[in-house]
Amino acid sequence: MKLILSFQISMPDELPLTIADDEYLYRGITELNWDYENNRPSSATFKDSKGVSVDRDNYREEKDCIDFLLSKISFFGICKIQTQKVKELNAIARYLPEENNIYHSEIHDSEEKIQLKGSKPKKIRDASEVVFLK
Amino acid sequence: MLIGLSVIATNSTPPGRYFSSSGVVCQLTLPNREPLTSTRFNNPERFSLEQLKTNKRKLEAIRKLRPNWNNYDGEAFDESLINEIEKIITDLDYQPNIFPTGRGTVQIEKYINEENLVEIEVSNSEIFAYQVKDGREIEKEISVDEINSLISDLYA
Repeated sequence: MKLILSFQISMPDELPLTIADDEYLYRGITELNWDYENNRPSSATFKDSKGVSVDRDNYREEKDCIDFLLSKISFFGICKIQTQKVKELNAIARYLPEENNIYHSEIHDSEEKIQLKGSKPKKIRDASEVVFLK
Repeated sequence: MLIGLSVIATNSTPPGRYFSSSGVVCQLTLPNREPLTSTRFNNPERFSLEQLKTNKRKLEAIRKLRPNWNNYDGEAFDESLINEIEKIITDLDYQPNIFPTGRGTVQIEKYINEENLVEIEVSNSEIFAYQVKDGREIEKEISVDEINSLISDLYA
């Protein structure tokens, strides 16, 4: 007799449209972007053409946020940054839910510009904290 | 040719002593000077063959990345860009670290400390540098010819 166990991570139907300042934003890191010399992600992790995809926490436990990210993909590492810090660095966090990810959000350079460039990716990396590493 | 080789040998053996082809030990007095610095190979901080090999291996891994490589719709890398990066790093005096970005560009970076660093993002259309020199931040578009000096300046 086979016993099949399946785990389903429940998601709420909808979230507030504005990301609160004290919410954390989680981003997966690939090994190619891990800086072994300094034991941290490279700022290249935060350079994307369509905005830096992140998952807002919506006050979930940190473990739940990590498990949710890892349930879809096997990341080398995961880091988090508080929305307030993103604002202090003159970037913005936009809530942009996707069909299969209600937490999906993006960090943009500004209201007018999507891509982070120059000093901002480094400063966001510096303000982030690694919460999971393989 | 033989004379030249003898002089180089004396620089790496106890001063002033070398062997001639006839087996006679000769004495030569050379002025006490710093090691030659005319090539990057003489300064162990400057050129690291091991780091260059590591970077070339990483570049090959980046070359093979497919779309969505970072699980965030990361773009694949243009063959000509990877070839250009390979040329750039081969000519550098100080080997940097290289990282792929989600927008199909390659980041060349070198950190001495948080007050002195450079991050250079290279694409086919632009090379953009973020430099911190003695704590002062500079962001600018640069040419490929400026990359080596930008990194070497960190050690000046």
